[in-house]
Amino acid sequence: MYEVIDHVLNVQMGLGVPGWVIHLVRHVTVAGILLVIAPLQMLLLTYLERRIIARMQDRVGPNRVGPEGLFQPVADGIKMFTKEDIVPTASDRWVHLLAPCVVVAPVFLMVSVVPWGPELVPIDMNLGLLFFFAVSSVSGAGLLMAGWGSNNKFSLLGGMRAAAQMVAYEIPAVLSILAIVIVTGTLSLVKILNVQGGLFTSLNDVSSVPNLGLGWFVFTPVGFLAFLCFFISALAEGERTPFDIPEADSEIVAGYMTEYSGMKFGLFYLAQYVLNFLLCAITAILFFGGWQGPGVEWLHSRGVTASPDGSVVFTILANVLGLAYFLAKTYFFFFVMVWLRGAFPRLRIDQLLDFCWKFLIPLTLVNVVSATLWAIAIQWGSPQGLAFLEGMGEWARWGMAFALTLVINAAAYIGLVRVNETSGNQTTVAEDRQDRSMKTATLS
Amino acid sequence: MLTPYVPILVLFLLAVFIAVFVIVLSSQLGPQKPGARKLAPYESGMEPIGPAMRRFPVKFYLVAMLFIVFDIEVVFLFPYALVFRELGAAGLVAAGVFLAILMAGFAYEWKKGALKWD
Repeated sequence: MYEVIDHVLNVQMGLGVPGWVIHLVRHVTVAGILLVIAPLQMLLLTYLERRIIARMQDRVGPNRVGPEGLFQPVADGIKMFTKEDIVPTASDRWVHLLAPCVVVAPVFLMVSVVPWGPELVPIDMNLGLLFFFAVSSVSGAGLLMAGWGSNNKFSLLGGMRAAAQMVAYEIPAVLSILAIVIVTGTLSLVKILNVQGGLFTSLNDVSSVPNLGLGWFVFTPVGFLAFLCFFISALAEGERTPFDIPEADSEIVAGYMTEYSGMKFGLFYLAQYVLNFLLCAITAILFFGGWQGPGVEWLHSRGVTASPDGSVVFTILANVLGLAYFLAKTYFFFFVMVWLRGAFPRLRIDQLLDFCWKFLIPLTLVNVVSATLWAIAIQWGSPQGLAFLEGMGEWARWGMAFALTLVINAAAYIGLVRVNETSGNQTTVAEDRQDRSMKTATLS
Repeated sequence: MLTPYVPILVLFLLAVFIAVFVIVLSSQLGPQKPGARKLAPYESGMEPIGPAMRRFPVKFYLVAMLFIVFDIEVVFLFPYALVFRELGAAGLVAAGVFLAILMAGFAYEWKKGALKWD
């Protein structure tokens, strides 16, 4: 890309600009593309969600604006721009104004590290995964600001619930990706994707396997459990049903968004849908190989070896195919999110936090231990004092690791289900209601 | 060393600019008809009872405190995950002891009822 901009500016236009200007132009171009793509994803996702949920509820959904209602989100956007911007007199003006910006900016930053194809990587950072989750936790502060700054009881409750939920579910989410980091030994999303070639085993584990782009981590016991825990945590992080209690419309109106109107509300909405898209994308990348799929690697290697004229075509084809795989997986996970919304009722906040602390966190911790054993069984040898492992074949080591982690993870799952069933917090609904009505009405 | 973060900085500035721009634009495009009722806090159409910024249940703060403990644990485990091949058995033992201490604390918390919401 540097060469292209250099050619356009210096050769064709004859400006003779120095190198740093070219770099700056490149960065601004990449940022501009991302800032266009992200809202487009949001428009498409809102439309898809409304149509799919309508189908599940035996309705039609928006189908009047444009072909099959495809321009409905655009119409909604125009409507939001022309709505009155209401700032309540009692609110903390500056906190109220800054909250949507604090929520939206990190989400755009997260888009920058997501690899869309073999070469479609906006910013290749060797700390990509850590950056993604570090930045994602900033929006929690924005939600709290929105809740506090609005000076409204519904908003405050929503903001508090949002903050509690975001911080609580961040731990299982990060612990489940920690398992993948242990197995791969890198935080770069590009490298994590590159080892997911192969056929049912990653290239990291068994090097002799044919590279069909199907060595996804979800096919290992460690990856499977990490995927389940991560996706559940992602539902909570993205405030999707059944974890949408911060904006539970039947109890607290719209939570932290209650006092927002016009485009400030629109920014919260935008941030939420882009975040959902990103969480689906990260699920697809970490556990389902992202752009990896049959044919991509073959096209890509042809792009490197073919004649200079043909190589561009093959590289473009590889990227297009990879992008198609990536988007198909991402949209499938978004479909699952909508499906869950159509199928499940909302949890209470105590159930939500109990589930996190007493089930997900212990389970992901056990999974981290499993991941360590997996990495030891497959990658360690005489340098670590385990010379006997080197005598075994690659497949034998892989099989041993598979069986060991499968047993540990299954035992942990069954054990935790038992512990949570017998720990006495399973009161019946009637008892529970009586219990609650006897307590004085407090905010909780 | 910090070069990968230059595009991030550019993107950040652009994102903040766009957010502010959108808010300013919408406040200019929309009508401006304020009124005492409209600008009062929304409480489902009732007269607001008392201020909203007041004392809040300590339970939420407890969640935040538990989070900090676990977050620090995760912060320590990430570097370990990256270098644990080089550290070998000694590193494994150290990380195991670290995790065991944390798990003991977690079990204590659980038994003490710190994880109970009500």
